[in-house]
Amino acid sequence: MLTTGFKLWFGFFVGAVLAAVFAGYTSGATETGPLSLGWKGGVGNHVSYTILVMGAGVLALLGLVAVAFRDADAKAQADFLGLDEAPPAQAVVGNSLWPVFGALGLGAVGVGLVVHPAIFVIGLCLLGAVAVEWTMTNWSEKVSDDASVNADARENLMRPIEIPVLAAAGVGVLVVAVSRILLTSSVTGAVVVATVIGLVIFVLALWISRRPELPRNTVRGVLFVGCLAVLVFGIVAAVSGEREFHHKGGGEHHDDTHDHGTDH
Amino acid sequence: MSAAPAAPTRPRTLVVASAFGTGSVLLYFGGLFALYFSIRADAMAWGTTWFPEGAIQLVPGGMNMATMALSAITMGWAVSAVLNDDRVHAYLALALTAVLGVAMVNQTAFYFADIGLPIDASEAATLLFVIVGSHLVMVAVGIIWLGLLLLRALGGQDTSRHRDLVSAAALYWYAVVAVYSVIWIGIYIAK
Amino acid sequence: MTTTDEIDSTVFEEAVTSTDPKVLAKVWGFGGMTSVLLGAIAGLLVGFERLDLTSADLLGSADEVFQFWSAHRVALVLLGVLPALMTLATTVVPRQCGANTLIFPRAAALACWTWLVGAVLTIVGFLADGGLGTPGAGGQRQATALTLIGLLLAIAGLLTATVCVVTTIISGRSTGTGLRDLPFTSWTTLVSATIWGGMLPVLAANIVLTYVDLRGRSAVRFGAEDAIWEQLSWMFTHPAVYVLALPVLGIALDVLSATTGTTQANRDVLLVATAAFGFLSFGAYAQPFFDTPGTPVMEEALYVVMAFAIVPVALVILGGVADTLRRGASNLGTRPPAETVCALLSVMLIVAGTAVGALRVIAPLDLLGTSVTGAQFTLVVGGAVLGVGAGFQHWGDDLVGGPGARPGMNLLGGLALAGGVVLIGATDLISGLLGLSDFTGVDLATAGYPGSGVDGLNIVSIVGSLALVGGLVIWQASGILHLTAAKKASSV
Repeated sequence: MLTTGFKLWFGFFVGAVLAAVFAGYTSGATETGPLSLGWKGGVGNHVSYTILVMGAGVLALLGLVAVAFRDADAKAQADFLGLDEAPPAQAVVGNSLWPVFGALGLGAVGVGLVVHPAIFVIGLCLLGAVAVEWTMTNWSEKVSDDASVNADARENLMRPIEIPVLAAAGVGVLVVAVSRILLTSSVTGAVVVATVIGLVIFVLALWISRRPELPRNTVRGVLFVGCLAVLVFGIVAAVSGEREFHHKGGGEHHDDTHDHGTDH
Repeated sequence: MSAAPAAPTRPRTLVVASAFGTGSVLLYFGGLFALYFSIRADAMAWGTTWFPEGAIQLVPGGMNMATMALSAITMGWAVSAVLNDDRVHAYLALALTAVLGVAMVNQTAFYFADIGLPIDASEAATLLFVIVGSHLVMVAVGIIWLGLLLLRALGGQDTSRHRDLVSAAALYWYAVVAVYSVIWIGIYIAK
Repeated sequence: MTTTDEIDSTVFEEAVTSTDPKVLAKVWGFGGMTSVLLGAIAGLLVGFERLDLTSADLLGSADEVFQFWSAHRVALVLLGVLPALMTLATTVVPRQCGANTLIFPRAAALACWTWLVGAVLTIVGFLADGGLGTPGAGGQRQATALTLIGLLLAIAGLLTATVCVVTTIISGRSTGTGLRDLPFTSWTTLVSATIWGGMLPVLAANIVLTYVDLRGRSAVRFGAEDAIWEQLSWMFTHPAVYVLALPVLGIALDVLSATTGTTQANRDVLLVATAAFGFLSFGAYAQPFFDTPGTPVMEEALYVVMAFAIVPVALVILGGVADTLRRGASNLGTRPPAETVCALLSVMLIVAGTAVGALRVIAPLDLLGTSVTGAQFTLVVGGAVLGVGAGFQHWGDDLVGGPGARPGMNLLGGLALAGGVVLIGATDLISGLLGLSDFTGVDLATAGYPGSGVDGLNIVSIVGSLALVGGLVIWQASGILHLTAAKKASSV
């Protein structure tokens, strides 16, 4: 039996083929060009003809999928699974970070293409991470019918990967940010900055270690503000560019200042 | 892990989505091919040079076509293996398909570096780079998809009853091969 | 790490991580309608500039006028009506099919956020002196590139959402609901989605080609600033704009059937007619930029035949609407609901748009490059906006989640919008018949019609634009009030 979906898309397919042939013969096609995909003779307007033929091919594919799956009717799906009733259309899924991060990754890839390759690479990394996390989330949801068991399965599998990767990425970002700050400061200034940052970290760590009763949120807040400050100063320093470097001996002056703010 | 197995989900959804998504990708290439053939036909009608002599060589294109054709066979093998609950062969076939995809990307990258045709040399060059570049992205997406599929296959979730993941990827991969066939015939052979 | 529902989430976290189609529908809906409003304001500014075509008094230069003119069309189609339609497609359609929710909710969330990121980048690109090129090549190339990337992302989001919707319609139906039994909104969404899935990728191909050439050392042809709009313009004209109208016809049929309390007669005829309408709205084949010299695609037989063929199809659908009204008019009472009025007006505007489209392709009249193109765009897209609004009003309580609708404001906004569309459409039609160009530029030679800068038609058009913007503002206010009331009710 021909299904409704098949009739719709196959009808469109026939329409697209007829339109392509009609477009061809009414726009300068020769011999049997429009009937033979241009094998014997011209097809007329190539843009119209090619797009309509390609569209016809896709519509034929959709028609075939529709008839092969009996329009994917609920009854057909239940029969396929050997059940009396088809399962719900979609299992309920909770909130998820991956879609919004995926969109941000795509956005970063797009903006990076226009603005700077580094942003493009960050976007690609983000997309890669989202793809793996998304896949494993989907995998875990099929482990059992118990959401907590599924969540545990995912955690057991992914935590040993996520934590080191995130930690390495976090440390890497902080190292790069501090290096930018030091490279922007003068020679003496860099020593002062490094000493001050080191002292601040040391004193804070000492202070926190002496107060085990401190609420976790306070510790989190301190760490967050500290990391944010390093990041902001790092970005500002990167935009300002590095200081001039003078090589010893030879009297040669080599200026390797990179002004990232203007030269792109 | 004493919990009951996960409730069955509706079959076909992934394949239906893949058919529509793949259809859209095909139309994307349809748009590019349409412009390519149209501008090429105009150039031929005016007797102007389309590609410089020797820029488009048949051998690399043919090798890529052979690679893609082989990958279509290995993809079919993966589908068949999953259908027969043969997990070892499914891993092998999926991995082999991905490797053939990587080989195709590698061959194309080498070839384009070798011919040294600038992207802004002519309309033909720009169109060539856009079409081939888009196809490389399509192949790369397919390889990543296969990689993620392997991850899930290792988790034991691809069986004859849950074969949608592999079937959906296969549909996309066949489209990858189909698009390359048009590139091979329309660009490498017809020049 | 997997989900945020393991911990206490803030309202913001809840919103950005939600995969609930109803939550995401608010992003689609408010985002889309805000873009429609922005597009209408851009059109209004261009209208003011058109009052005096001897110079650019308001926007600075012809290039800037062009940027606003093209932004008007892009904002209405890709950033406005299509996303607004997604609101209904992702929420109402699954319910009509009997599905418990949208299939692939996470992918739908990805689609929504990707579209939003793309829309923001597109708007930023336009505001940063980019847009889709300019006739005088006076825009910023990097901002133009950003606009193109933004559009690509918006298209990617729309296509992903389309795949989720189509999969839900096909694979998510309840037992006993065949494709033929679907309500008209779902059926026309299925047909439209097939066409969107075919046209948007072709537009993406055009954009990628343009972008690659634009980013080269010097554009070969496709990325030349004065050539970008022409390559993409097919999406914003006949027949491609009809694809915005098709789901609206389905919405109108469902709304009228529900509010009049009658079932649709001749259902199969209408199913075939709406499918034919969808087929005839496939416009990717008609790309005038790539015309072979001497054979313009818009003068070829297929283009002309399709422009005429869609008129009787639209009339058949109008007949179905009229028949429903005739049989159920007594149930409407003396004050018909706002959504009924808006739905009816939207169908009438769309049918008028198809008639103008047919008029436009009559060769001896030589109207292809005139403002008749703008008239047809305004009528069809305006009708689509009105129809989407009717859908929002009809299913508003389901979408927003509670009572609080403002029928009076909705009716007032709808009437203002319809009046504005009629005024703009009619003046553009008459001006086009007199020879006014589709893009008038800022000098009389480009405008093509020497009297166009001073005659009263432009003033009438401005009044129409003001009414259109006013109507949209009223609707936005009504939507926000509805949302606030619903929130209050749910918190009580």
